[in-house]
Amino acid sequence: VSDGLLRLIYLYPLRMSIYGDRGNVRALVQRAAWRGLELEIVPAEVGDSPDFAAADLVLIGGGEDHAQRTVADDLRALKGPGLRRAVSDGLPVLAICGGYQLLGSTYRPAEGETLPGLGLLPLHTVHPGFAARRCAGNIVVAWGEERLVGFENHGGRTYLDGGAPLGRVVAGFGNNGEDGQEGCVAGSVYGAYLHGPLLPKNPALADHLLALAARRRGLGPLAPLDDALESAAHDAMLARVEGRR
Amino acid sequence: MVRAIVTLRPALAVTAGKVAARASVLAGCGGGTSLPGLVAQRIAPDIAATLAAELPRGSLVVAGTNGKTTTASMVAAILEAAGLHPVHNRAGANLLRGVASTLVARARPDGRLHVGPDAIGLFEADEAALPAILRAVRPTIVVVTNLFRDQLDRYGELDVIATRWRTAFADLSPDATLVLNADDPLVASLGDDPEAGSGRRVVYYGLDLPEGRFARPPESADSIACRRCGALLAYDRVYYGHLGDYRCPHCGWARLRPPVSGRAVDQYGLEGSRLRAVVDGTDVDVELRVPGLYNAYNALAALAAAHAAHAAVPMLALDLTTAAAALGRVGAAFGRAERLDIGGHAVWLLLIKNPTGADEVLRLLSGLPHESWPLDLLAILNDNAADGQDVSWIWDTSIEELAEGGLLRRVTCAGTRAEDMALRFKYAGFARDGGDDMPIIRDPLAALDAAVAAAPSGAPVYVVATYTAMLELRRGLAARGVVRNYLEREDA
Repeated sequence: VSDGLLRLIYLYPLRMSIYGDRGNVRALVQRAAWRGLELEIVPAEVGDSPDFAAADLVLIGGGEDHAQRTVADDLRALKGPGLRRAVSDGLPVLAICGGYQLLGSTYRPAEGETLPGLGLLPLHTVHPGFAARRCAGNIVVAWGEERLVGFENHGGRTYLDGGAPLGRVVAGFGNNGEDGQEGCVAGSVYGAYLHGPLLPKNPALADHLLALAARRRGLGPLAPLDDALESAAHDAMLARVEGRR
Repeated sequence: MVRAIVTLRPALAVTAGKVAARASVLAGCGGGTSLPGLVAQRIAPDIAATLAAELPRGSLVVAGTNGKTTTASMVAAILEAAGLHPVHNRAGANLLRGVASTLVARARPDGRLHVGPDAIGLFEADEAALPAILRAVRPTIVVVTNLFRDQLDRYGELDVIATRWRTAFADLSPDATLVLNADDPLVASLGDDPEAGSGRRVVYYGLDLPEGRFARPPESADSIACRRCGALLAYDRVYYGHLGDYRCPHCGWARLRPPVSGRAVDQYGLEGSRLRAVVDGTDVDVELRVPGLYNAYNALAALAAAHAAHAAVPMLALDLTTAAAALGRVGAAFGRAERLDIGGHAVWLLLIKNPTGADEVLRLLSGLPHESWPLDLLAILNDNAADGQDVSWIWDTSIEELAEGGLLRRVTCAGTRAEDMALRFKYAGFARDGGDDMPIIRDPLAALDAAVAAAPSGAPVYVVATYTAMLELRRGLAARGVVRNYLEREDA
């Protein structure tokens, strides 16, 4: 029996969920359910106007270049004002890869015009062209005391414009393969290149976001879960990547 | 002197390639499916093109994400039934060096191809290697099965592949024919691109079943945007993935009605299926020894290729009844619903490579008769280069349908990413934690032994495994004499 209902707005599941990003949604739904909380998923495609003020969490994943272009306009024009207002009110947002790039100030793709972003994160992204090496491979990031593990695969290089990174790259490329930074956090907005997907193997981050959402509903701290399998999958990748260094 | 070396080059290349092949076999490195080509290309970079040009009946190339190997086997069966002798790159050797190896194996030491007057090239092409293979073998027919998201870390995004293919198709000989899947919007669009040259002959194939399986593509579907204007396509019916009958509500771009069309498909569990097809107005029934709607597509692709070949290949005599009978002789390719018997248990080997293909395999399992449930499953996930290093695609599969429906009794997880596989089943709702019903045993063969031992008396064990996991498992089983070695079999 659910004693709490949380609402997650999932932005562009049809166009922006390249490679397993919906696993993040699955992780949040299950980790809520195992605690007797119901996480309702509200998908929002191009043309939809979801009520961000009534949401507790927002997710956006990555997409191919053409999808990113279609989505960028809609994100800015239709969803932008409501999302911006809700974020200033503390609405937590998790953006991965292409979605992460679109939350910055600008994204310059390999071909075509520069896309203006939503400006929720202080960063800009430049794609150095298809001839440049893609930042692809397993990645480990130090997030406070935690180690986040995942897989990254991006052509664009992201540079923070004074903001705070999500963490420090322990192995892999991260934002740009140069400055050792990965992701960005500004208030309640989290952006990262890590997919894999990110949340199932990093339950601490999943619960961190879920706790932010629960707090908006006045719900207490989250009960602990048995994460033996999550830890096994996390540690196996950590051991492999760190062993290779 | 320089001139002499240049003309001798193919001969040297062939000889060196053959020596490499023999050395490779002697050294126990397998059947030499790519090394001979690699060595020969070092000496004569154009060796594949030089030898392919001597094929008396030209060449066919089969490309696409899923179904290449099975479709190529089906085309081979039809060509053989028509009295031709396909020169066929098997064993998944589908890069240019694999094509070169296949041709080198059929060449004489003087650098000339040694084949009969009815030899025809039949080459399966990797997505990334297709442009180079097309340039080398100059095929008269190119068959495309489908384009699904697959190993982004290796191939890049679908749009990038499609753009490269479009360019490569534009360079094909003017009388070459494209055989395209009408139900895949991205593949179909390769045939109506004005840049591909007006007048290019295209033979479309597809399904026209009385009803689709879904009203709309799953969330994980790939090519759901209109190739002309970018709006989301509307589907009247969906068969699987993004394959179906679609149209663009915005600009009117729509699926063409294909001349080679499947009208009914009946499944016989994992044992096979029956396809009722129409080829240019003529009905034909095909009894297939391979299951699933995806194999019906492969059979239609092969029929369409045969239909196209009728016009493109000189003197090819072919009637549909013969073609249908030939299709019915094609058994499961390596690890594609292959049945073994181990310790009184039927063990089914099911290869999974990407979300769409895996979903079709899972759908075969959830479509088994109720008395088969709950199932004993062994899921093997590797992340070697040939599998794709990025395993996040397992989260795009519909494992929930099996896990939540109570269809599974036990799931043994194995492979280099066994824990990731187990985690996927946990979040799909199968088990709260790796308990007795979800053991993790990394070694595929040990995991199979455990899964078989734990299965109830006589109950089948279903093995879903990625490419290198399947190779590893088969190698282990071959050492025990349960199966013949894959490479031995393919080279035989």
